[in-house]
Amino acid sequence: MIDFAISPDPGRSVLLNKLGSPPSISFLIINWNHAAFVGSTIDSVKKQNYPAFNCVVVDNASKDGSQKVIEQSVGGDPRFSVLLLDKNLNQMGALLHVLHRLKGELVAIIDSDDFIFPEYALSHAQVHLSIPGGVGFTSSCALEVATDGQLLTGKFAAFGGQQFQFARGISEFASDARLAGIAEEKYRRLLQNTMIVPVEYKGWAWSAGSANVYRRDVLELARPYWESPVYVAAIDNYYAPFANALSSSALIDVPLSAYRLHESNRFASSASIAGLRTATRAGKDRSRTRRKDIIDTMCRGAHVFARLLGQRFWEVMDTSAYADGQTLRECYESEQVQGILVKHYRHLSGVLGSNALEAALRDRVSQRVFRMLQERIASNIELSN
Amino acid sequence: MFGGELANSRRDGLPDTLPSQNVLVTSPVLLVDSVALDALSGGALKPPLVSFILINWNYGRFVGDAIDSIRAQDYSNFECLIVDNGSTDGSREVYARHVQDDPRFSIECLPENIGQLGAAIWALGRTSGNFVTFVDADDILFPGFASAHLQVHFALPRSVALTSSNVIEFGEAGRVATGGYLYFSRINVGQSKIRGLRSADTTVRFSAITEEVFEKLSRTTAVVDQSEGGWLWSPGSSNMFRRSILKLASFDGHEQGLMRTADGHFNPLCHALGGSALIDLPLSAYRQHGQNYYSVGETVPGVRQGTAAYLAKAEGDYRQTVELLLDRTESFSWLLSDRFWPTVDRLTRVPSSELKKYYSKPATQQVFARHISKLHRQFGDAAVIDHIRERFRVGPAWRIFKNGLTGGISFSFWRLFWATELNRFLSRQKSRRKRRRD
Repeated sequence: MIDFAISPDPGRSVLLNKLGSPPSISFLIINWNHAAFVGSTIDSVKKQNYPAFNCVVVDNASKDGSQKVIEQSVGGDPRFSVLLLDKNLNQMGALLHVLHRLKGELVAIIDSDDFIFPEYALSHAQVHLSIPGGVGFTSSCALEVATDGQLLTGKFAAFGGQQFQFARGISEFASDARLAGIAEEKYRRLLQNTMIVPVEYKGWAWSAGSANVYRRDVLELARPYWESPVYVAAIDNYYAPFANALSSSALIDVPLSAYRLHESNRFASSASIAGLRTATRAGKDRSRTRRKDIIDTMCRGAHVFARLLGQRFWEVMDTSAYADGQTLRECYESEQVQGILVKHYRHLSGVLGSNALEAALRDRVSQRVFRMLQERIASNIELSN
Repeated sequence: MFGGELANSRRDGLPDTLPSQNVLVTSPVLLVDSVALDALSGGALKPPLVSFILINWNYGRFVGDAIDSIRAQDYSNFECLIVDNGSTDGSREVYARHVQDDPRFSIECLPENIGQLGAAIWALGRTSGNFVTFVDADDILFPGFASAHLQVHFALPRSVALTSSNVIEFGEAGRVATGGYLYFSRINVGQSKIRGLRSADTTVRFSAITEEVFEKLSRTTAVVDQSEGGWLWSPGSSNMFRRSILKLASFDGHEQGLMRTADGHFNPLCHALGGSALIDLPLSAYRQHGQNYYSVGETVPGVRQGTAAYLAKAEGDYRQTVELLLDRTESFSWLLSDRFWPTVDRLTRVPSSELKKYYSKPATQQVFARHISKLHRQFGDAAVIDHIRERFRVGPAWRIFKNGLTGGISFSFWRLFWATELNRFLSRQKSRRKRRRD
């Protein structure tokens, strides 16, 4: 039985007990041709010492017999449900396809070749509860391992930003909400090794993939618009910087999962090392392109985001530039972003007011590009009339 | 025999080595957040395998000590490949006697000496550990060598290409001579901005490393960023590399022989790629016996450090490392991004004041001419002209393009090259006139 436990202040803990159950976590395992690993991934979810979870396993039309492995590993476990797709929707496509089926307040998307440790859910849920006001997501330290499971590094290179530039420890301001089942010593260590990444942060400080636990409402709020069910994009590439800009995040500097690396080609080093690129050229280009979908989402949902964010509207939009180390000009003058702006100009202008919109754009593009943009918008409006 | 000597010297108040009484632990236990890795993962995760590559050429009288010291490691998850590099001194009789029936060892005998670097790359293809140490046959590792290096690799605030520990130097009779290696960069340990290890209770822990030893390692370890140059490391045996980085830094076609030391090539290049961590604790012993061919390679035993022949040999060796970078321009320019050209300059191992002279040498120009097509393809007309002209004078630069570019020089390239030259000339004139006016 898991519950909110006694906090230092007995009066308040009684109240917390009356509030009912702890947050539930929905795991989402998205598998594509990882028959060799998905079994141990599923097992690692089953071994969580946090009972308030459910798990959806999606198979993206694997061709290596994964489906059978998944059925076998899940067995009859009522906490699991399996969805076998007959078409590969890719990672982001699969998430958007099942997002409405995930019922947990928290969502962890686990790569089907990764591995989480038994304390994973409990630790993440505790940190989500401990931070007053909440965070968009929590990201824990992940060990990098080789294909055969051999340990390679103690953490993903970018985790923690520039040598853990954030203040360590949240004990001073942590809420009293505390989950049972977490030993005193571990609880203390957890709070001591957690850091808050502020919304203004302009880099990448998180582990990849399976180490991140999002709030479901943030995933829904920031949900990208995409016409086709197939959506070739990495979930964290889009969601992590966006969710952080919206509502900050927390880093848990305790190893809670393992991230599996596969034999890479000559253009990428395998274990991540600061100053040495790990992605391939094509991969980097794609991630940069797909990250611009943040701008598309904010333009389409401008009426919602402007109300929620007020003055911070543009600051959040600029995330898509900073996360790729681009200047605002490089980002907003790119053909992709110009196209998005032309398409949604009328809506944006309606929500933000045309003067404010023009001023914001003049700050972000050169005079010449601004004039070109105006011309394109004019002809676009003529066309639609 | 050596152990006794060292114990004596320690009593004499010489620097402390890593204590390790319990030789041979049966299986390596790793702890994550105080839980054994096995229990945590049900066998899905495994401790890292270390590859020791022991290269011997005619050190039959020492190699037994080296083998014993590897067998005595307190981290048991290793493999050791003994490569006999064409020895003629009866070394081959020694190996089996010391290996006995230890299944972690294998022995390969090469018919002739293909150089230390040649043998090192040859052996990399025949081993599989993700962490690699090349052991010189005349050196000795202390029992805690592997566990300490691994602990540092896993607990550093940032991952690095290689870790390098200090050494105790000792003489032929086994007597300790000094407590540290002269060229091991203590200064860098002191000045580094990234010192120490991550908190002991939240990192992967190797069970052979006690709290006390962890603290000691943390006090004596520092990361040196890839932007720092110079020779930072102890010699040969005191380094532990990540295999992924060694792979990036390896030559093809090494079977024909690379008559140079492994550390002379791998240390500067791997460091330029991923940075180093220095551990200012002696974790191995470096034998001085009047015949150390280090930095020269076994082939030229007559060449002594400081002589002209030695310098010429060293420069040629390092030019080979530079050529590797140029040969794989596409890959390295991507990996290193805007650090590519500074890395080329760095790997010449020539001080920056001497670079002009280095690039004026015909041998250097030949190397660049051989790979100019790749550089051109990667950087495009304007950038490649700038980078080459930054290093070579106009005549040699033009010849590099003329002789090297496959398909010859196009008209537009010709025009751009000489237009750039004209611009350079004019701006030089202008600044000269300005100086005169002032």
